[in-house]
Amino acid sequence: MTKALLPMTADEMARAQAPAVELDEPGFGSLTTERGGLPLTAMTVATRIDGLIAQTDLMQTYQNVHAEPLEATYIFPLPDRAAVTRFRLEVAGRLIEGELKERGAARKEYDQAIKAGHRAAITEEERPCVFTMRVGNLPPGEEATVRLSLTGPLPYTEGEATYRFPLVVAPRYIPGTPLPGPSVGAGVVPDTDAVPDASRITPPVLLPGFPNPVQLSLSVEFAPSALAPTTLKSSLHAVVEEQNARVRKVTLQPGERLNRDFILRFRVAQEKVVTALSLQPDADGKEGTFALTLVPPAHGNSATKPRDIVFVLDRSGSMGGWKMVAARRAMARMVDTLTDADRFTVYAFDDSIETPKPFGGDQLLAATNRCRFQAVEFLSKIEARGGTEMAQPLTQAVSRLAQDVAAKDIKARDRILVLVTDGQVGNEDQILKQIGKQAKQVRIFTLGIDRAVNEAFLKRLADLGGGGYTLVASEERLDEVMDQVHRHIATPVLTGLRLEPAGLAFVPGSIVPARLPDLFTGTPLVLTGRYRGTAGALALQAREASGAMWSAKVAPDVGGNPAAASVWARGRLRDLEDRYAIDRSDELEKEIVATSLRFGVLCRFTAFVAVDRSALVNPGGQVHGIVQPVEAPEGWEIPGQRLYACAAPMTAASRSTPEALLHAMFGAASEANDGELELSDAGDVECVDSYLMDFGATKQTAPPATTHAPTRGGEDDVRINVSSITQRIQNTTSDWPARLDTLRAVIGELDQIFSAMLGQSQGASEMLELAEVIAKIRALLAEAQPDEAAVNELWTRTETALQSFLVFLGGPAPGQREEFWK
Amino acid sequence: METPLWTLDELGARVALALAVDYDGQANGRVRDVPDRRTIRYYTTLGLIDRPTEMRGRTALYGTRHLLQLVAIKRLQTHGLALTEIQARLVGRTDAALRQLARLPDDIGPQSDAKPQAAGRDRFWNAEPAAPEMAAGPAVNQEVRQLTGLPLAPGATLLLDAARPPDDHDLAALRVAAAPLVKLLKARRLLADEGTPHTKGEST
Repeated sequence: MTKALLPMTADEMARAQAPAVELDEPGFGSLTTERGGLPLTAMTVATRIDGLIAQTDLMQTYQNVHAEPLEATYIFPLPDRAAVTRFRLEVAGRLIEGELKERGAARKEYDQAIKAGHRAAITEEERPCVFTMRVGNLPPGEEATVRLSLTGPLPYTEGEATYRFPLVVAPRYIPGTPLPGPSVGAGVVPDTDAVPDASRITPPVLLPGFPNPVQLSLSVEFAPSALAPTTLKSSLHAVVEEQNARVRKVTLQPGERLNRDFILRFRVAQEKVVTALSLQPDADGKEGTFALTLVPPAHGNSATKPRDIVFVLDRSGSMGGWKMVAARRAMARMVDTLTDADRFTVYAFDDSIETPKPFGGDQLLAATNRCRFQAVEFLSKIEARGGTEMAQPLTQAVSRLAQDVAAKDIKARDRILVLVTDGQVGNEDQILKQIGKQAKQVRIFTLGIDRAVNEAFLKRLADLGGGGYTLVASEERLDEVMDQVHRHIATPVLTGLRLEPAGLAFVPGSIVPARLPDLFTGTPLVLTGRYRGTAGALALQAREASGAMWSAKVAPDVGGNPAAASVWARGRLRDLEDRYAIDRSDELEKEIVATSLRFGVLCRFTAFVAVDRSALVNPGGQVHGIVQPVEAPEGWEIPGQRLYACAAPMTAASRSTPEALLHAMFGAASEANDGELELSDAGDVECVDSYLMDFGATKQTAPPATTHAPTRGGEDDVRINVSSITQRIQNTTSDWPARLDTLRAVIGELDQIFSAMLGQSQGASEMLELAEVIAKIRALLAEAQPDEAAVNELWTRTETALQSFLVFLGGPAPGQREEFWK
Repeated sequence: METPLWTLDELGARVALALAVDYDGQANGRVRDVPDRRTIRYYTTLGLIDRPTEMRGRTALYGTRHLLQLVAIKRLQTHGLALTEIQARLVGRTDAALRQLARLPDDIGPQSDAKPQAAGRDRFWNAEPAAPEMAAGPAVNQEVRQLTGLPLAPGATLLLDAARPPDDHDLAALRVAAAPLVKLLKARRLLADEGTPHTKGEST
């Protein structure tokens, strides 16, 4: 018999009485619903965007379907730049306001409340983007709702603002040796010396096919503002409602799973975002918060410095599938923009580091045609595998770049580290500590590739390295941001930015970000900080690419966003926490706690706790603990067994055993979907490409999504043509007049192929070679009496060029592989 | 109450004991196997069994709840349930519910609760991570070729320096092409006996 504690739906009843009912024997469970006995039932995200600030109210609803009092634990993500400013617990018809306390004190209060038998809840931060919620002493049959309030800035670049709300903490690689004794958290991976809180960031993972356990509602409302959004794109199915002429609201379609980031991009006219200083005085008027928006001067400075670049590519197991393809392409295209004056190397790492053939050790080589070609060829063969031992390659790259600092010509060279990864590691602090000091001498650019990226870590690295960060959540998006990526590794418009008082008494050391980054065309910089006394202007100084001094004075505009202090405090706390990771001290910890408590913003050293003291529901506090399992991230192709890869002693060795090879070969057969959204016919948004959807001002019927993006289909065609030409050349007899005829027959098609690829792969070394071959063939055909040796030589060169071009395109054409061994 | 802590081998022995008693009988012999280390870790990832109670050096220690969970998984597998269904039924179950499902014999050990307890490391959030193990000097390898292995027959494996991973068509074609070779190898008794146990890919 099935004991129902809560009303069941007809479906659940039917299921409970279905043939499998013999498993629901007495005592098997108090209630077997199709989603099992999981506590989290609903999540609501309501966001209001005002200018470039987002205010979010997050609600999570927990339910106890078991026969014993429950403690539910949920490890969940939040946007890393958002300040958590308020926490409330709604239980048994009461609303309890949470209190922000030093973390140890808050945890003690929670534990005591549970032991005494009170309902209670606590919110803790594990990483800037990973949080833990615990709701304890929830009696059988009861429901509790927790509410969090968040405020955060929206990144803005090249006329486009991005609102991102992460929905799942993806499995992360945990390096290190297990620590003795029990672990400190409720997750599935034991703590290690490298990640002493691994058990707090590793939720269990649901298998594919598990019924969607959480009802998700998400809406984003745009307040009437001067920065009116014009084009909206969403990563998930959503509809736009026009509430009136000025307010727009985006609502997620029901039924989405918590398995990827929600990303909403919108255009804001570039002329609306101008250099400005806005002041927001505190209530007492003695101090205040300022926000300075600096739009870099637009004049196209052609002065370029030679660069030293180390490209670090994450090729670990979690990068499998579209992520690896996108990462390879992104890096190959960056390599292609280098010139002979630049020096570079490529590190591809999993639990070891590999570098292309001509490079050895930590050597940097001039980016000649040949070197670039070899690097690109090396990249084209990189497949995902193994663990994510990121500390070694990053340390090595940073020390390699920093090692020449004393050299004479060093001022004349830019030193850049480019990291392409999904960031799925748990040892962020270990890595920051390792590279923190030397990182000040290089610029770090991070490119995040995932639909559930560890964005916080990639931004921390970029901030530390005074560089930038770009997110790519689909192959199509990569093409859109490639220009931006190239700019990040090009010569900055302004460097060495300094702030000078010009009336405004700003507090030295309060500026966020702590390291003022270099400025690039198209990406305005937002600085925040604290000031004392009355309003006044700020002066800025920097150096242009040509070496000339640049300066500006910005007049104040009182009446900024009331949330400015929270946003600043969050940024400040992140900077302080990073500094603590690199160079810890008790004073720093005290400053972090004090800043957090004064501004009411959660950090890793504080926690929000809420206790319902009005009732004793479970004296003694014996609770049944459940950790909410989370979805596997969408678009991952990693076999389930390896979701939480750890640095087990066997990982490195196991790859080289034949058994592991066979397993890798035959175990990777799963054809995961490549993350493209399938729109139902009833969808009412227009689908521009298969991943991001544009919202028109009016509702339109969506055409069914194609399975391949247009560019991919085009490449397939090109690949088939190249294959067939290659075969025709190979099938030609070795007598030279026949060869000449074949060349004459294919030259037209070669031209077509070249123009078809021109838009997409300009600058690739394979393209250059193809162009040269075409030119040579034309010249040869124009000759009255071609020479036998010249024909044969060109014939060979053409064949080679086509074959490398085929590799560059990603392999032989589909459907032409049957006889590959010939 | 004193909590019993077992190594994986000790835990496995108890699982086998529990399954031997009150064994339902089922078609697939595979589910009688005691899960190995890797499978245990996979089940942990899925929330089917709890994380090890604690670590002693590199040895993971388990308790009664782990025993209940493992036996419950096995019992559900004998009913022919897929892992997703087992996950829906097992994740978050109370000990009482697990005990009903696992039907442990009485003499398997004390039925105390061995849920992971709070660790002694009170202030884990400011614990300093150990320095990573680093290779002295640059640890860069030139690109290494990964060989692809294709089992042709028990005892015969083809190692390929393949330009790309073979697809299903390739594999089928290769197996056909290799048939005469396998026949020769068998005729000359160069292969391990068919009956000799050899390692297979893992089953989960």
